[in-house]
Amino acid sequence: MGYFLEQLINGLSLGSIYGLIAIGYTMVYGIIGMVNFAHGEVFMIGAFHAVIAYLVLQALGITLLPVALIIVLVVTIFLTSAYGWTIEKIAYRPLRGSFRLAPLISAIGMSVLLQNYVQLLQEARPKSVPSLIQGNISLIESEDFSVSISYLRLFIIIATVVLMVFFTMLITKTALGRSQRACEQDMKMATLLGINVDRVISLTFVIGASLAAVAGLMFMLFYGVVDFYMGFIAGVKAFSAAVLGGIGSLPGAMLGGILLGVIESLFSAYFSVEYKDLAAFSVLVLVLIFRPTGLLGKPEVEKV
Amino acid sequence: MVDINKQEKANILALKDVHSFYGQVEALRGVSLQVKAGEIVSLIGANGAGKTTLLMTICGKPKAQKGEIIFLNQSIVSKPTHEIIRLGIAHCPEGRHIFPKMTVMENLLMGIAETSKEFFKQDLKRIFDLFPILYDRRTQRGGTLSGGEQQMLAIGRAIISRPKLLLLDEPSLGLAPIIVQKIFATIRQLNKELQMTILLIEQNAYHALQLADRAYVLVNGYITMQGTGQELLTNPEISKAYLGG
Repeated sequence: MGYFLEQLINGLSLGSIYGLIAIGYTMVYGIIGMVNFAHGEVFMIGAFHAVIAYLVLQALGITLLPVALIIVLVVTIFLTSAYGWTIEKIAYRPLRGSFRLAPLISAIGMSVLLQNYVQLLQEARPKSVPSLIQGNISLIESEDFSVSISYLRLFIIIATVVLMVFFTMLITKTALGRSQRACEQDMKMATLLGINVDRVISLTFVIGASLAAVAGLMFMLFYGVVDFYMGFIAGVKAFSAAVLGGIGSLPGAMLGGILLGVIESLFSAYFSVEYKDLAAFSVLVLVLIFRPTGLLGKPEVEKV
Repeated sequence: MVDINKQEKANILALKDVHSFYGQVEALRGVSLQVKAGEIVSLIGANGAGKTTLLMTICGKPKAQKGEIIFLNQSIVSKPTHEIIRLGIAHCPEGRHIFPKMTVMENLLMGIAETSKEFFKQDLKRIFDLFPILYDRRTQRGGTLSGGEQQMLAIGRAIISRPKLLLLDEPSLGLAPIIVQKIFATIRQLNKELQMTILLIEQNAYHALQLADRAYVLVNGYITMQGTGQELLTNPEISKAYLGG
């Protein structure tokens, strides 16, 4: 029982990371109908920014953990969203209005480019950082079993919840969020209401990249190792999470991410670590067979 | 009713020799027309005559290939759509284009998303006075409204920003006759009570001409006739071609 709960928490924190990346996929798909295959690389770049920012702070002698974390967070979000913005501007915007596959191919090109760019700048060797957040709190102590949760996992889960609440408010309550949803539902009409669609699309990439940046920071804290290739598998997982939850659906992306994370953790805990990806993707295949629109991707019934 | 605007007869909108393409097809082949302050101007024509393209070209989507479009004394022909709209043009397109997953309130808010919010409460009240049904439906999603309610919402969303020119594309399309009456009555009300300047496209030529101060007939991308609504209503050619006898 204790082991199960610990693995569940493990899965939740891993799933939080997947979910945060998945939102970037699902938002971009929702608004311009393309899969941004370079989004995994944006996550990887976020993780690198986190490492670099942390090392710079250390060199400057700022080691007080909460202060350092906040600075790293802000710097990482800022720099990574600049990448997101630029990627859209140079790789996708010029192709808007051309045939559907063009931006997809451009996205794959962008993904390869970014991997090589980071590999050239940072070398292929994985970079490691010491674990920053240490210690555990005990949740349940009984004679039969005990459950403890590390501060790190707690931090990841709480940070994700806070981000999700903030993000949901942004999308549902603000004018920016309304413009975003309007473009998603009817881009032509949004333009006719005076919305600068290009700006909204740029902002969508910036928001997606910011969340991926936070995920990158969490990944760095969680595993303590980053390398230029890490965006690929994380990207595939997060994309699967978005599809699992129903691509285009924001709560779906989060749910898909968490499900994938939990399945992976539990499968590695009870069966085999080697086959955890097999388990995760099998669930994806099964869901898609029985619910092709994903878990929450139910098309709305509308009167015409 | 004092109608200062009609005495001044200032041009709100003027098109001069506008050419525009719908895909590969030249849909407008040199259209010139004027809309003056306080007028309802109707544009009638058969399917494919270029009516919708004309309204869309005013909004810069597509851009006019040739010619000049003047709105409130400035050329808007090279401006992007969102800037044209923000100058004070509201476009209520064919097919209503309600945001299906947004509530009625959110749909209305979209009408002022990028303009001033000062008068929002007053404006909202004005819309709800005009269409009380929208108040009852305010928390419902746009996609769940009936066709007539959607059309009312589309008009409400278009006028909430107090546009200087309202473009209406086929507001009666696909609606029950009783609703059509209501929509036309509303258009008249907008014009008479709120002094709104309106450029209206209609297939329902009879209604459109009755409502109009002036009207244009568009055939294959050319303006073939113009005059006051009454003149065109009594014109035998018009009555043969568009009024069914």
